Amino acid sequence: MSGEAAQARAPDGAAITRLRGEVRDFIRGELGAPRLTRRVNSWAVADRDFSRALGRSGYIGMTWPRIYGGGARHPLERYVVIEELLAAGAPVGMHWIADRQSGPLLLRFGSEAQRLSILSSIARGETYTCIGMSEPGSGSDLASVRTRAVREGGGWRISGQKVWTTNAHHAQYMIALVRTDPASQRQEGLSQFLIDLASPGVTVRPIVDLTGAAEFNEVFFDDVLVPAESLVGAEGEGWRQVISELSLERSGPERYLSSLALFLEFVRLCGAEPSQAAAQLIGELGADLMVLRRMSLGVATKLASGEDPALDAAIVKDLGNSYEQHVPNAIQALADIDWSSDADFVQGLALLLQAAPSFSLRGGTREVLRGIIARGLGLR
Amino acid sequence: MSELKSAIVDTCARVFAEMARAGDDWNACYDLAAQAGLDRLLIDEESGGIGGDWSDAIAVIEESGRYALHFPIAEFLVSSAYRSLIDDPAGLITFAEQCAGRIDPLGRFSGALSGVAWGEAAEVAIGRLDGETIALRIADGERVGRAVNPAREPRTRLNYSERTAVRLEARDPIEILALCRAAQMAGALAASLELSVTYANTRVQFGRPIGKFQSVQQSLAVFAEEVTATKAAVDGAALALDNGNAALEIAAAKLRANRASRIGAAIAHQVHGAIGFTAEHPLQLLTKRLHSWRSEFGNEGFWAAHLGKAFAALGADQIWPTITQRADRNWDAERGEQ
Repeated sequence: MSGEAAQARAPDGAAITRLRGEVRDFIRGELGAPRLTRRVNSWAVADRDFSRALGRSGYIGMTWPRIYGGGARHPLERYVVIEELLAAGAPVGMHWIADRQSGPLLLRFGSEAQRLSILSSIARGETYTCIGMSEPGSGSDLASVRTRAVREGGGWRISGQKVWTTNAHHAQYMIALVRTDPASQRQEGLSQFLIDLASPGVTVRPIVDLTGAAEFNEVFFDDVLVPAESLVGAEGEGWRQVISELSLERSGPERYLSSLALFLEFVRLCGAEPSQAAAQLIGELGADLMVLRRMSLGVATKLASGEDPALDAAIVKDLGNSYEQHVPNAIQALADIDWSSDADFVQGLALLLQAAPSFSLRGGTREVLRGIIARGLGLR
Repeated sequence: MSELKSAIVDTCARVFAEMARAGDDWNACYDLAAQAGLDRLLIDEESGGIGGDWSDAIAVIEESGRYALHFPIAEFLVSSAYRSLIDDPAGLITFAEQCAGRIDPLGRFSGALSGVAWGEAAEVAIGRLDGETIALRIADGERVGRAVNPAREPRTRLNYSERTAVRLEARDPIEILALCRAAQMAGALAASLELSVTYANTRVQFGRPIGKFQSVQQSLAVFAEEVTATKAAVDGAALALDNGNAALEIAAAKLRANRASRIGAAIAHQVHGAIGFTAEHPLQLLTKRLHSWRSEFGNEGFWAAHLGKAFAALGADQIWPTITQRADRNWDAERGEQ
């Protein structure tokens, strides 16, 4: 995919300014002024109508080639669009994984038939995906996956269980990491499959999280038969294919912007002349926002020029997650919160305080990321 | 980093290494810095300078932070931007952190300068008084004691009574020096991290290098994050300075460098154990500077309040547009080569 994307012309500053204006107009037109509880952690908020509207405007699959329904835009144009969407707290959860991860994976490793079958529908905001990685016995230690695929007839029979699968209840497809060589150990013998979740034998069961929402699921595969052409990329190459996309997943603006809407509402509450303590908190949180944005965009710039800044990406995610967790906690320490109030600010803070622990779990735990950084430093 | 900039930084790195070997030999350090043309980096080529921009200058100052020099290298380099405004004095121009007092209608200053870096060695001090940048001759002031910061860098206090002050049409030196200190801290942090990683990989306890223990790895990963964030903040502020107004970015950079210094210096010492607490170990030269510079030209509280008031004045709805618009000023400069 990177080869094809690199053909898009790099946007200059004037083009970026225009693009920001277009996206802001689009968001204002589509969303108006949503409640704070909808704007925090907004890449976990699924909204089919909004995803379709984004698709119609060309904001999904932006960097993909036109023959697959993409926009053939530069990766940094996509970066600017998604940071604007997230900064505005737009509900992008429905198509998020398909746009960020599954589409690029299929472009890079998928077959022509796979690309032609779903990419244009993803880009229209109509087809959604989920990623089958974790299992009951396989969390941070992803290489221990046990869900298996066995050759049967002309295809494969898949059996096992995935868990914590975000969006499985909305998605039509899962890209799953499964073991295709039963004798293999650890990272070897794993393969990726594009699985139609309407296949007989697939059961999706929502898991209610501590906020009361059900964004993630258990997915059971009871002898699910999938055709041979469901294999994504090469048999036995699943681990390397998964790893190759991690920098993209780890350094994006979603890793530090989940709490921005609360921060901005806090500034609004404090007014034009905040107390000294409030001013200091606003300054501290604002400085981190500026610096994290610069770091995240720096990784995106390297990715766009073909580098794989895996270490920098891990640093952005860990610092970014710590920041978006710190925002509600620091604001709670200072703001006068009355839990009997149904004020938007109070309800938004309540939601973020509950959701924040997940920020340093999803997409690689803090401990795993710091292990990667330590390896980058030459300690492992 | 552009090729030109990395060539300049490489050259300066060799000069700084020599200056570090010269230790506290003032004349040797001064000559090395002057011979290398560091005081011409910010001067236009037409005026006989090197024609570097702020981004080049800050990268050089960041590099200097790695060497724990006993010399005001940032002041030496940056003051060249002010030199032509002050009747071109022969000696060193330095800067005052604080300037309190008043200027009478005859242009004479009565008051005090404090936190004057290397005041004993300088000829002129530049300070900021009521929104104006002013220059005073060091010899006109009465030295009140002689002090050093914890890194033993001289910091002078001077009293003035009706002495001529020259008003300068120049950038706020407090902002510039705050960014310089942040850059020096970025360099000192990077060097401290390298010392710590090397030590963790060589010091064997319980039968293996201590860097093989996860708790040590996790600490050093946090340290690396702080170093990376500080460098990003400093680079961003230097680019903003080349674009004109850099008030928000400099506030963020000094704030970030201050916090990183607190976190990083503590981890560096924890990893080094007792040997890092000895006078002969080079780590203490870096960490003492980090502790000292954290208080100079604005601590966390100062810059956080400054930045917070600026954001509050913008209002909630203008914060994100302002941050992106200001960063986008550098879009072409940073990504033009792609």
